[in-house]
Amino acid sequence: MNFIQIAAAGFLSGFLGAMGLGGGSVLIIFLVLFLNTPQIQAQGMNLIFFIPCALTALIIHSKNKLIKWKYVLITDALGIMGIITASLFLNKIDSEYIRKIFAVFIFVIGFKEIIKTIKEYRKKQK
Amino acid sequence: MKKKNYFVSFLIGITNVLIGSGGGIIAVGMLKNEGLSQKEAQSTAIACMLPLTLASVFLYLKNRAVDFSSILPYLPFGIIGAVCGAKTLKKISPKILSLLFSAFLIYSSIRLFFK
Repeated sequence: MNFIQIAAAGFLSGFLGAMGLGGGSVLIIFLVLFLNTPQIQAQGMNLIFFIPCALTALIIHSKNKLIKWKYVLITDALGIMGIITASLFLNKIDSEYIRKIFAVFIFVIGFKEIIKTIKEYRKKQK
Repeated sequence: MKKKNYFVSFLIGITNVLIGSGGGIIAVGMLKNEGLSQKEAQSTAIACMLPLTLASVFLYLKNRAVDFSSILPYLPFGIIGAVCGAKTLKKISPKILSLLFSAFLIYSSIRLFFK
């Protein structure tokens, strides 16, 4: 694990995350594929990593008045319920299985984005 | 908020814990569905994910699934990246970046699935 790898992975994750582009996936992918970090640990690291990056991005975004706080409240209220529910079975699922779930998830995201971009491109052509 | 999006918010919580990521992307889609602009949705999503991620971290720590020190080397670069990203968000639309990123995600998903 060398300095450049850490710097690049860290920077890209923060950058993409602050753009709302799912930067979280970058860090987990890097950790699991290149450093052979166990999936759950990589996920935990990613969650911790997100916090200072998000705080930084938020301070800048709230200056730009882009945040609609009403939605934050509602989403978080329901989201916390989801977290509590997930906590009940987090321990019971195998790490390998979670990695596959993660893989499917990012595949779907990537695929959807490409379709969306193609659609937008076609619209522009007309 | 639309009724279905209450459920989506619930799913965001589950996803954030289950795969330690992804909540943000779902949140952006949901917020746009609620009528926010792309940039509003992206910024608001981050605001949503912060408390939820704090709760998730607490959960992971409690289960000893992770420790703080492992992530420390990455943090300074992440913060610099976040500052650059947040400032870029205001200026440019990330379309080409998004396409490249999607290709990367698909490639990675296949490698991860068959690892």
